[in-house]
Amino acid sequence: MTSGHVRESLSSYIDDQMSPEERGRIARHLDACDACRQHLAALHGVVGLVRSVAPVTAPDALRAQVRARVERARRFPAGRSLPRLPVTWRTVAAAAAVVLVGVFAANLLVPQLAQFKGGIPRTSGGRLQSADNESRLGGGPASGGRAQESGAAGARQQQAAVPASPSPAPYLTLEAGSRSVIRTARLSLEVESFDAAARRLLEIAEGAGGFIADSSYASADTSPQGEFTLRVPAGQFSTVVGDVEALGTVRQQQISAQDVTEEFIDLQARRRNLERDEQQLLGFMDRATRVSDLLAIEQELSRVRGQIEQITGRLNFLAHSVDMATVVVNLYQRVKQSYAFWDLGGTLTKMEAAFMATVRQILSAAERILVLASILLPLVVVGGVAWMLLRRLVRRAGAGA
Amino acid sequence: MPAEDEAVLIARSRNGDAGAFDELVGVYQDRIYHLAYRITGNHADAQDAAQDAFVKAYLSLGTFRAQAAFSTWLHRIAVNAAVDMTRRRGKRAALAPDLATPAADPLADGAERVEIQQRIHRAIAALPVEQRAVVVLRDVQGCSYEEIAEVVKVPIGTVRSRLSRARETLRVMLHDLAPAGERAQDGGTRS
Repeated sequence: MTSGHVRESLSSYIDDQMSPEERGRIARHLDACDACRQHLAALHGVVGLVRSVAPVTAPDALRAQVRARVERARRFPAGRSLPRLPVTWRTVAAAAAVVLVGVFAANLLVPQLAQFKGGIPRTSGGRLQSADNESRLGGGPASGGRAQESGAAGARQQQAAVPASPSPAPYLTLEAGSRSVIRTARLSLEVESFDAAARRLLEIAEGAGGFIADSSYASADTSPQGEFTLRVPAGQFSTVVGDVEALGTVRQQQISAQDVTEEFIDLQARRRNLERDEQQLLGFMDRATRVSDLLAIEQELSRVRGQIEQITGRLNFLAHSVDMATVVVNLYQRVKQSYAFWDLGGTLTKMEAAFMATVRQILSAAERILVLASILLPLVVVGGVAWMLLRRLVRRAGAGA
Repeated sequence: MPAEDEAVLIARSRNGDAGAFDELVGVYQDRIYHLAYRITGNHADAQDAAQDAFVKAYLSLGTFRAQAAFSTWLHRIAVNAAVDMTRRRGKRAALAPDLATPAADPLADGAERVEIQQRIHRAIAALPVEQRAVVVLRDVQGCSYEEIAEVVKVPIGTVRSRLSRARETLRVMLHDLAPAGERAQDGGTRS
């Protein structure tokens, strides 16, 4: 066949479904082309054959069947057929895909957004925390270098660890009047200016009638940091903690109250007993006649007195600790965000963190979706099958009569 | 039937008058049945498809827009029902066309005539179902291209090409039956 032939158009030519120009073009070609003329004749022939098919009349039963079904549909409009699922399977699949993608995206984005709102550069906070732990190893005043203290009293120690937020701390309302309580607070603060904050600490301590018992200072990297131990009267404890918190951003806070009432009473009772022993021994000494007895009594007396001294010292320490609460403050100067024009390393770190966070979110989102699908899939399958069976039953009931 | 009468019957049917709809069924049942028969290829499926089509038409009369021709609308429902039925049956129907057809054919006047009718029927039934619907609508039902496009819901260009392909296939299958240049002349230019 050459390009001039018109076979594809002959069907439309037969039905005169073309523009006059097209028709004229084909007519001219047919005049010239024997093959196409034969093809047209054959096509005419087959169209004629199809048009010659004998009409078929509807079976007599058809009209009655339709009438019966229409009648039933009219009488039981509700039962004529359960509605199809209101959507096609394609729509369901599309909707499911949209939902899945939505859940996926939400899963992905919500934690990310929350993270950004909370501020990603928590790296300084993390460093701060580890530094704080180090300083704690150095020993706060609570341990005080005395081994006895880690006994029963330690178990009664009540600690309130507070997250790094400036929300009001759960201050303990115990009053030192009836009970003897040693109160200790540990604070980690991020401040704008280390020097100004250190000066303010001194003012706070002295203003409350206390003093700075210990201070250490270090300048690691470019940001100075230090630890200060404030001793303030127990009555001023809450005020002082509040003032200190106001110096900067609280990164970590721990407040403990150690109830030493029982130890106090116990120690006082033991001292009274020992003092009675002392009086008794002194009485023995007066009546002693033999030198060996005298020496034995003397020895016992010095042992008892040693114990009395020890207990008295402990009692004094406890009384002092109860009277003067301890506030340990870690100060950090806020890390300057950009000391160069552009902190490339910091940006890379942040990018890496963000990238890894997203990867983790994707994985966990995928996991959640799989779990969700596992929950829903059986239900969907059971529901779909049940619906199809129900429809078929209803339809059979409809077609039956 | 005059168009006004039909419109009245349609309106009454829409209001739930089963008797009026029954009359409409009486008017259209032969055309619809024939259409269904040529598309499905056998009487059993044709009867089911025609039934389904009429019932569906009755139930969805509410959605029938008066500006569309009722006949076209009904044809669309019937074609859909028949094509659905055929697809559901798979190829079985197409490969086993009903052999009892010509017996009911009043025009059958001899063994050869019966044979020809069966050949044509089988050839149509062997076409892909989309082409089958188009060629039946055109050459059996005598619909215009525009009506076919409306019924099958495809552009006219698609109707044209489907029809062309269907006729070409039929030409090859039935080449020995078409002796008739003269037959082509008398039936061919109807449009």
